[in-house]
Amino acid sequence: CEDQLEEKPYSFYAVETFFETVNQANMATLGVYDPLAELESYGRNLSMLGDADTDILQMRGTDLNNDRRKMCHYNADPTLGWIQDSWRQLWLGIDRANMVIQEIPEMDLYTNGTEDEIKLLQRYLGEAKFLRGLMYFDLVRIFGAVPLKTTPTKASDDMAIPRASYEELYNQMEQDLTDAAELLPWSSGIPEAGERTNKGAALGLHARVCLARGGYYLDVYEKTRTRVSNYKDYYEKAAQLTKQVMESGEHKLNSSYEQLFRNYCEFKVEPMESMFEIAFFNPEGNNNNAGLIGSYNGPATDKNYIYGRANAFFNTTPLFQATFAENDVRRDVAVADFQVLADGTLKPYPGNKDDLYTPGKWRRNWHVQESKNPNNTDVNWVYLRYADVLLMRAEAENEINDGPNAAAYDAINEVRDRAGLDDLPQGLSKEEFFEALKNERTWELCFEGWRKFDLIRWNMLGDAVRQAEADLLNHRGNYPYVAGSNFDDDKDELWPIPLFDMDENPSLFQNPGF
Amino acid sequence: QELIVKGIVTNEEGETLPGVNVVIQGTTKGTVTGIDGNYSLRVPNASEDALMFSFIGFESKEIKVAGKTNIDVVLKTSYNELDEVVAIGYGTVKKRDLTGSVASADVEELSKVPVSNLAEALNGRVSGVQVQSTEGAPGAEIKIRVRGGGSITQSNEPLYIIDGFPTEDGLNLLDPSEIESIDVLKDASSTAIYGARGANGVILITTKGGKVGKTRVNYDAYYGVKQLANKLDVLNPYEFVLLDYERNLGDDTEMEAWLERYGSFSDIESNYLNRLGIDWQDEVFGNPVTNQYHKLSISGGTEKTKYNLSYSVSDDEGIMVNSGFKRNNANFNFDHEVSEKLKASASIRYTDQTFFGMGTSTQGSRFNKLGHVVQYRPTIGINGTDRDLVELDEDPVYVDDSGNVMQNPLVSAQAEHKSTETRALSINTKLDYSITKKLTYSLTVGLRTNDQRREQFYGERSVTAKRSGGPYGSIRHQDIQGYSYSNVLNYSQKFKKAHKVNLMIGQEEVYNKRRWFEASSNQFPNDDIGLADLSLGALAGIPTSYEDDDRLISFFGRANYNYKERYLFTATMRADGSTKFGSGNKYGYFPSVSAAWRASEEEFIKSLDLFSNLKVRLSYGVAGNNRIPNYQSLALLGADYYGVNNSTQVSFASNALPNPNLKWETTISRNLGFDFGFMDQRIQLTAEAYKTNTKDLLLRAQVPITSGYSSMILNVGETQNTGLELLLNTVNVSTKNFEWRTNLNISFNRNKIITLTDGKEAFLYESGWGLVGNDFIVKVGEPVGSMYGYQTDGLYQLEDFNYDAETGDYTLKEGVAYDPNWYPEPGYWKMKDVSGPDGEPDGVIDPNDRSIIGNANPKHFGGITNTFSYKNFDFSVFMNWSYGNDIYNANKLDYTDYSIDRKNTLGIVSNRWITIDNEGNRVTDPTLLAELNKGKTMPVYKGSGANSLFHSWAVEDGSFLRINNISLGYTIPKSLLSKVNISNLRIYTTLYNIYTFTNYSGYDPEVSTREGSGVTPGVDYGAYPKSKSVVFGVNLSL
Repeated sequence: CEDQLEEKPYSFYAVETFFETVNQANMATLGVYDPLAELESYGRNLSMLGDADTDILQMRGTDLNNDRRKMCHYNADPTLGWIQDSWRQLWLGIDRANMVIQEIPEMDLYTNGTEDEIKLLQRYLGEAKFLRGLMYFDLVRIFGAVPLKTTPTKASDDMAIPRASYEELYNQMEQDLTDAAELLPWSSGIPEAGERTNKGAALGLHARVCLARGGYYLDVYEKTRTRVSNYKDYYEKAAQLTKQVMESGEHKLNSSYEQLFRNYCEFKVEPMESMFEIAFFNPEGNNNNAGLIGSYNGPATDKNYIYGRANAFFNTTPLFQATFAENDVRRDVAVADFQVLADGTLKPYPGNKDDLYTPGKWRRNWHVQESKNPNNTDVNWVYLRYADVLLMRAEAENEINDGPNAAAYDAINEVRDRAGLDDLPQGLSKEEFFEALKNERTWELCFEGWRKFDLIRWNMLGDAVRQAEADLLNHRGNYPYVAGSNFDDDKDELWPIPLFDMDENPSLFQNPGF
Repeated sequence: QELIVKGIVTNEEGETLPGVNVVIQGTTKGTVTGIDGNYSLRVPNASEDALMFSFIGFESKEIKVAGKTNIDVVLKTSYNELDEVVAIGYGTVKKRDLTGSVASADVEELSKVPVSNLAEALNGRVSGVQVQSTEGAPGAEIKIRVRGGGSITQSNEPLYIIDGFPTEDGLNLLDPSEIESIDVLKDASSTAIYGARGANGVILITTKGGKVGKTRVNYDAYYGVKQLANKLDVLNPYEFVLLDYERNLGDDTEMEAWLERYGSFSDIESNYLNRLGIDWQDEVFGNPVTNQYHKLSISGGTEKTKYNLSYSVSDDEGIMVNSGFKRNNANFNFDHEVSEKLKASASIRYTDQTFFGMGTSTQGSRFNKLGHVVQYRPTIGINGTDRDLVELDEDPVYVDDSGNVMQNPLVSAQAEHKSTETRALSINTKLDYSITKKLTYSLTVGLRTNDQRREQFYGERSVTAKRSGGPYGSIRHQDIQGYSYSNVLNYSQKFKKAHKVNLMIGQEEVYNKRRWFEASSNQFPNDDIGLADLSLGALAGIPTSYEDDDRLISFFGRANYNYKERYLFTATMRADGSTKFGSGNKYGYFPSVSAAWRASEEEFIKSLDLFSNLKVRLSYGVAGNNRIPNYQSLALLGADYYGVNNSTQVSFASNALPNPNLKWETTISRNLGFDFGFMDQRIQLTAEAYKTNTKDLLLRAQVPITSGYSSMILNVGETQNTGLELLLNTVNVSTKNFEWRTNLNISFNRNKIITLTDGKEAFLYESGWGLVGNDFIVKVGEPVGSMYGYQTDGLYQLEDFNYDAETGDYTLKEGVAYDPNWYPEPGYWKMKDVSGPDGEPDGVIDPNDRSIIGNANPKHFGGITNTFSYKNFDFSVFMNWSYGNDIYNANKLDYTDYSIDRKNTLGIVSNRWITIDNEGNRVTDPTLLAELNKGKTMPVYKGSGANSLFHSWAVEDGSFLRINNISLGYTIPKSLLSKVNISNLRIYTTLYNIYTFTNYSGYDPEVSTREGSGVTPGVDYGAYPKSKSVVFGVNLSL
C-alpha cells in the first residue's frame, strides 16, 4: 500500500528531480528575476521611491493618509504594508537565488555536459549570483544591516537569524558580483542581454556597491551616520571596475538622450547603453510582472488617451527644471511641464501650478502600444546605464586622486557631450569637480531611482530636503512640500524593519528612531 | 350505536396510571384517566370506533371497542428514546447500549427553521456543538465545532458522513428536510473508528428512506419575506457636512471646493438639519425580499422493498441587491430484500445549486463593499438633490481622485456579478449478506462527482471595470471525482443469555481527485454577451489549471461486550494511511476503549423507585486530524513567468516551505457521562464532562519573511479542551389536549494551549482584514482566539500638553507616553503604556505595549426549545445564546477613520472631539477647546485613524440571546380532510431571527469574517448583515 500513498505532484516539479536539464536550470534562474518585477519591487516601490522625496522628486499630496505618502514624506512606520511587501519580494528572490546557486553546481551536466551546456549553466549561475548581490544591496541600502543567508531555507533551519555586520554583507555582495562577472559573458554573447544580465552589468553594479560601501550610511548598530575609514579603497575598486567596462568596448552611449528613453517607451531593448533593465510584461495588463512606469511617474494623461492614462503621482519641481542649462537636451526629456490631453495635445501648466511638473522620461505620449490597463505598463525599469558607469568612474577617479585626472574629465565629458553641453573647464579642484559631478548625476540620472541613495552616501540627504523645502516655499508661499519638515536625521535614511519580522524574529532589533 | 365505555389503565406492575390520554381514534374526542386510573367515555359508534391509549413513557395502545362497555388496559413501559437506534459508524446501536458520547439532533425541530443550509438550522440544537455563521450572505461559510476543536491553525471542521460515506462538502449540498437523523459523535472513543479524521468529531447523517405502508405523496412548501434585521448608525447629512467642513478647514483649495459644494457655513443648519439624505443601507439592503421552498415526495414500500423519491426547489433571495441562492435537489432512496440472506440498498442524490452576489466582506479597506455603503456620502450638497447620488454611477467628487475605488454602492452591487454553481451527484450502494445467522458481510461503494463553475464579471458600470479599461471577467471550472468503498464483517454471539458479544472488522479506501481550470478575458466591448463568449474580450488572460489527489487507506475493528444488559464494553482500533504525510509517517494508529454501567438495571437501584434510567459512561480514545493541504511534505517548484522580450518565459520557483517530517495530529480524549431518567422518562438529563488533549499539532506557524516564506506547517505543541455539557429534556405538562415539552442544552468549553515549539511562548497571527500587523496571539496558557493589541486609554486631553500660545503648538508634557511614529495632539486616540523592551512601561507606545485584549471563545453557549401542542395547534419557540465571547469589531476601526475628506462614518462619531466653534472658526485656545470637548469619547478627526492600531475600544462583548425561531402550526382535523382524500394537512407560520438581545454595536454578534487561518475568529469586518423573516408554509400528504 505504500505505493498508493505516494503523493504525485501533477502540477508541480519536485525539487529533487528538477535540476537535470539546461532548460530546467534556465527556468529556475528566471524564477530569481521574477520577484524584482512586481509592483512591490521595481514596478513601483523600489524604483520610483528611490528619488522620492528628494530635492528633485516628491510624492504628490502633503497629507499622510496612505502608505506611499507616509513612506515618501518620511513618516514611515513598521506596520506599512508597502514596506513589508518590498521586504518580502527581496527575501523571496534571495531564497530562490540561494537555491539556484546551490543546485546548478551539483548538476551532472555542470561537470559532464558539453561545452555549450557548461557555458549556459555557468551563465545561469552567474545570473543568480548577480541577482543575489543586487537584492542584498537593495536590502542594505534600504533597511540597513540585515540578516545574511546564503543557503535555501529548509524546514529544519533556525529562521530567527540576527543581523549580520556591514562587513559580512558587503563582502558577500562583492564576492557574488565578482563571481558573476567571471561566470557571465559580455552582453554581445547573450541573446536577451539587457533584460538578462551580463558581465558589464555585474562589473557596473559592483562599482555601484563599492561606492556605497565607501560612502556614508546610517549605521544601525551605532545609530549614527558614518563611513568606513578605508573608504578610499572602495573608490579605488570602483575605478578599476568601471575602467574594465569602459575598456571592453561592449557598451557605449546612445547618441540621442531622447531616443534612449523613447526606446523604453517603445519596449525596445538596447543593451549598448541600457546595460541592465528589470523586464516588465503582462499579457493582460494585470499586476503580475507589471510596473507603473510612465503612469505613476509620467505627465498626467487623460484617461481617454489612446496609449493610456497617467496618474502622475510623482512630481518634480520647477526649481530643478531651472537648473538645466538652456541647451541641455536632457531638460525637456526629463521634466514634463505639461499634461497630455485625450487627443494627445500637450497642455502646459500655468505658473501657479508648477508643482504639478512631472518626470517626462517615460511619458505616455511616447508609448506606441494601446494600453492594456489604465495603470500598469510593460515599460522596463532602467537599472544600470552606461552613463552611470561613466559618472561613477569620474567620481571615483576624482576621489582617489584628490582631484580630477584625465580619466575623470573624459568620463564626465562623454556624458556632457551627448547632452549638448561643453566640456568641463580644466583645472577644477577636487571640490569643484565633485560639485559638477553631483549636478551631472542629477541631470543625467534623475528619477532613475538613485538620487536618495547618492545623497545618503554623500551625507547630504537631510540637508538637501530641508533646503529644498526652504527654496520651494521661497519660490511660492503655499508650495506643497513637507519632506524637509518631516525628515529626521539618523532615522529617515532607512525604512523600518517590518513589524511582522520584528514579531517573528526576536533576535532582530528595530532601526534607529522607529 | 352509542355506548359508554369504562375501564382502568395500569402499568405492567399493576399500578394504576393517572393522566393517560384516552381518545377515540381519528377524532379529538377523548378523556384522561383519573387518580385511580379510571376513565369513562361516550363512544358514538361502538361497533366501528377504536380507543387510543397514550401516555408519556409508555407504548401507545389501540383497542377496538367492538361493543364492549368495560375495557381495562395494561400499558407497557416504553423507553422510547432508549430504544432509538443511533448511528455509530459502520453500524448502529440502541441508545441504551451506547458507551461513548453521541448526541442526536431533533430533526423535526430543525425542519421548522426556514433556512436553506442545514448547518444554520443546527445552531444551538446539540450540546457540545457550536455552530457559527461567518456572516449573513447567501452561501456564507458556516463553522461547526464539536467540543471546541483541538487544532490551532488547521481545520477544526468535523468529519461528515452522509449515508455512510465521507464527504468534503459538509452540509452544503443537503436539503434540510431530507434528513432522517443527525448523530454527532463527540468523544474519541466514538470517533476513533474514523481514526485520522475523527479528532474534530463526526457528524453522521442519514437521509430519509421509504416506510412500509401505502404510497404517500407529500407536498411541503413555504413562502416568506425577509428584511434587514438591524442597521448601523451613520452620520446624518447635517453631522456629515459639519465633519467635512471641519476637516477641510485650513486648506484653501479644498475649502473653496467645499463652499461651492455645500454652501456657506452659516447656512448648514438650515440646509441640512432637516434633510433626510440618502440612507445607503436602505438602498443596498433595504428592500424586502422573498424566500420560497417547494418539495414533492413519493414514498412507500412493502416489508421487502421500500423507497423514497423526492424533489425540492429552494429560491432564497439575499437582502443585498443582486444576491441570492437557488437549489434543486433530487433524492432517491431504495431498499430491497433480495432474499433472506441478501439485502441491497442505494441512495442517489443530485444537487444543483447556485449562489450569487458579490457580498460585502472583501478584504482590504479600499475595496470593502460594506465600507462603501457606510462611507458613501449621504448628501450631494446645494447643487442638486440627494437622489442624484443614487442615479449617478460615481460621485462627482471622486471622479478626479485616481486612487478611488469607491462608487455608488448600489451601482457596484448591480454591475459586479459573482456566482458559484455546483452540480453534485452522489451514488451510494450497499449490500448486506448474512453468511450465517451470526456473521454478516457488508460491502459499500460510493461514487461522487462535484462540478463547480465560478463566474466573476465586472460590468462596464463598475468602477473596477472603468479603472481597467473595460468590463472583464473570469470563469473557473472545478471538478472533483471521488470514490470510497468498504468491506465490513460483523459477528454477533450470545452466551448463556447473559453475555453478548459483537465483533466487527473492516477495511476502507477513500480517494478524491480535484482538477480545475480558469480562463479570463479583459476589455470586453460591453456587458451584453460577457462571459458567454470570452473571446469578445480584447485581451485574453493566461489560462491556468491545476490538479491533485489524495487517498486514505484504512483498517479498523470494533468489539462490544454486554453483560446482562448492565455492563457494556467497547473497544475500537483503526489504522489509517494518508498520502498527505511525509514518507515514514504515512500511517497512524487510533485505539479507544469505553465502558458503561446501566445502574438502573440493578435491583438495588430499581428498588429506590427513583430512576427510570441511570447510566454511567466512561471512555478513553485516540483520534487524528489530517486536514492539511496536499504536498506539505514535498519540496516543489511551481510555475510563473518572467517577461523577457515582451513575452512570457516560463519560470519555476519554490512557493512553499516543505516539512518532510509531517505526521498526524493526535487527539486523546476522555469522557465521563451520566444519563438520568426520572418519572418514567418524563425528565431526562444527560451530563458529560470531558478533557481532550491534542498533540503534535499541525500548526501553520508564521516564520520570518527573511526565510523567503511567511509560514510553514509544523507538528508542535499541545492544546487542551475541557468541558461540561448538559442536556435536559422534560415533559412539563401532558394532558389530553395540551402538552408542553422543553429541551435545554448548555455547553461549557475551555480551550488552552499547553505547549508550543521548544522554548517558544507564543506565535503571532494577522487576521488580515486590512490592518497590517499581527492582531491575534497563540500563547501558552491562553486559548486559541486571543485578540492581541493595545489598550485604549481614551483620548489625549489638554492637560497632557504644554501649549505654546505664540506658535499654537501643543507639546506633550514630560512623562506622557506617545507613539514616536504618530506624535499626538489633543483629542487623539491614546494607548496605555503597558510595557517596554525591558518589561517595564517606558514612556513609548510601541509593539511592546500589546497584550491580550479579547477572547473569541464563549464561556457557555446553548439553546432552549419549548414546544406546545393544544388540540390541533402546535407551537414552538427556540432561543439560542452565547455568553462571554468577545468580538473584534474591525468595522468600527476602519469606518471611523474620518480623517479622509468626503467620506461618511459611523454615527458614534457625532460625539467626537471637535476643533471648530459655532461660527465655523478653528478653536486653538486650550480653555475653549476643553469646554467644547467635555465628555467626548471619539477622537478629533486628525487623530481618528491613520495610526492603524488594533486597540481595545474595538473589542466588544459578543454575548447574545436570540429568539431564533417561533413557529405556530395548525393541523386540519382529519374528519374534514377525509372527504377530499387528504390524509394530513398542516399549515404554519414561522418567525425567524426575530429579535436578539445583545450589547454588540455591529449588525449581528454571530460573526467571524476572517476565519481563513483558523486562529483569528470573531472578527467582524464588512460582514454581510443578517436578515429576519416571516414564513408561511404548508405540509400536505395524500
